[in-house]
Amino acid sequence: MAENSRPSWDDLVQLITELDGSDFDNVAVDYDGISVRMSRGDLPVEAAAQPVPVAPAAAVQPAPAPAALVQPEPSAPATPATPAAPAAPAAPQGTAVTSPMLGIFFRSPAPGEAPFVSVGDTVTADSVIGIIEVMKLMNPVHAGVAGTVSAIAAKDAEAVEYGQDLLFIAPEAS
Amino acid sequence: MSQQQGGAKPAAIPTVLVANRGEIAVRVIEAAHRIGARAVLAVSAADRNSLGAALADQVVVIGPAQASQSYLRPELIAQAAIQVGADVVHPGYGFLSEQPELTELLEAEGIAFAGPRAETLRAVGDKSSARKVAVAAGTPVAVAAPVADPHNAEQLRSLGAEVGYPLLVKAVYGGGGRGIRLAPDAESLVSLAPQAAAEAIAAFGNGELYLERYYAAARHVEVQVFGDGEGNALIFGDRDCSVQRRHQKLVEECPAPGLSAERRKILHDSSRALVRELRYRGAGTVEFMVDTQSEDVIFLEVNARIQVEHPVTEEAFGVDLVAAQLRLALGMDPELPEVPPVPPTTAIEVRINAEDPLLDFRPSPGHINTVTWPRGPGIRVDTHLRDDYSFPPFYDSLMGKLIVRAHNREAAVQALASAVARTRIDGVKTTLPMHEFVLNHPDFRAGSMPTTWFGPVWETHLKDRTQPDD
Repeated sequence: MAENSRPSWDDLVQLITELDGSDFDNVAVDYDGISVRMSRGDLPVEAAAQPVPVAPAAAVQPAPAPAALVQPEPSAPATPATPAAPAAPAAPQGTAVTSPMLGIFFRSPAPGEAPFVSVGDTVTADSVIGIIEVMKLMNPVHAGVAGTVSAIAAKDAEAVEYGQDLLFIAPEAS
Repeated sequence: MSQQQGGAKPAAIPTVLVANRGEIAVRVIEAAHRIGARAVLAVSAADRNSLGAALADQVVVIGPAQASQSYLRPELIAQAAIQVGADVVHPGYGFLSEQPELTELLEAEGIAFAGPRAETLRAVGDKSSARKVAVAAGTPVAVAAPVADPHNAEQLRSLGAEVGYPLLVKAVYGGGGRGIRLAPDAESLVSLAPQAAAEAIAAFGNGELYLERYYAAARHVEVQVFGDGEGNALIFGDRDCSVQRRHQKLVEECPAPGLSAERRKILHDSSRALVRELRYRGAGTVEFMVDTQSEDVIFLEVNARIQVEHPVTEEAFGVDLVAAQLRLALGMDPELPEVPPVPPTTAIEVRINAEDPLLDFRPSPGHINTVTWPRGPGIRVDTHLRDDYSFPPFYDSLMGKLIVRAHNREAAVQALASAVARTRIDGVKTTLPMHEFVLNHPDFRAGSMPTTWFGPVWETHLKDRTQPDD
């Protein structure tokens, strides 16, 4: 692929969002220098690395259905297809929305319903991005900042603690 | 590590959720480890790096620093207990230790609570119901005589003689210390009562009064109990906690000095009766006023929890009350012995607070650079302090407790005074200088002072200090 075909971060987010709504169980998309692999099961370790230098480091792990990993490729050695150690999630882009209390994080208003927000969604500070359940009491969590959801950090129905990252929001550019 | 041994005991290692902070969190974690359990500590964001968090096998952050959004939320503690798979929750003292809500939430989830049943917490939780229980158990309570007619001098005189002087004239619907008058004798009672009734009507819309005996010089003596939940009680002696400032205990000791065998028997027997009446479960304390000017003993309240001053009892008798709480809650034998009413040794504790005793006990949180504790026989330190620790401003000022045990009271006082003098907490103001003063004071050395002793004595001491320069 030509150099200018390398996808932007927003392109990737859009791609992942589209794939999220599809029926694929496993997806691998390779760009020049960037590979995107998504799975509804556990992501195979092999999906980790295809070494070619690339700029933005980012790992995305949307929770409920497809686990997605956008793997930036290490710059140095060219040992292809080496199963890299489980990629330490690099600093995600944007502002972290953290859990206001210990409890169970839910991404949807009810089981089976669409999540409050997904990667790529635009939110305002007042947008509800999830629920923390504490002893059957549902506590809505607000975005707190306007922008675009750039990454989901906590899985649906996951036990979280106070201060734990739930998702990331890339603030509005303007 | 797993044990492969077969036997009666379940193979699983129990998990204790510690729902508190500070020194008591450290104490409970140690007890959990002592009984072979896993300790999980629920912390606020401010306590992530506390000593307790370092000692626990697992830490969960339940909420922000403010206690109202963390340590004081029963549903967060219950949720944390579920999430970590706790078998038992130990609430420490303060915070949620006497809140029936937490007990009930845990019970619904099949998680044990290292404390009394919810119904017990309710029964002893407010003064009037606690008084009813005490009366039912035959425990001596303060006489409260309702005044039928505040203008009837004859009636007042006979009522006053019944209650005894000095006495307090109180408005039935008063509260918060308002509507209270002191009557030293019958004459003043007769002249005070009509005024008090008129004032009560004006202030509370109701002029009803009652008379209560006033004790100007009473000691605070309490009895340590441990109930099996079926009505049986073990009594672990008594403690004197009469060195107080504004109802805050500063120094505690076991046994209470200078108690006659008769009085001690009244205290212990009443406490035993209360445990039976309540079918009390676990560790608790029955507090009394012991008058120094008469033979009166008056029930104050039941503290349905482990108390700050429990170490003096543990040291004097050689028992582990916190481990016993955990064992009992887990359905195990608490492994506590029967002990005599008076322990074979004396143990004394000083509470070291982050307060400046020279400046009206102003709170003094801040960064602690280094801490040096004394060493020697019979010395115990219960603390969460460590070097390079920022003492948080969000919670109470207790930094730790220094406890010394010796073969008798004189030796214990002397050893503790020496231990206090060798304690160094560098970085913040502490109450250590005040403890040096108390432990070396002839009144304290003699023992048996009333709760009213410390305040004026300390004020006088401060005035007498010449302060020509800084």
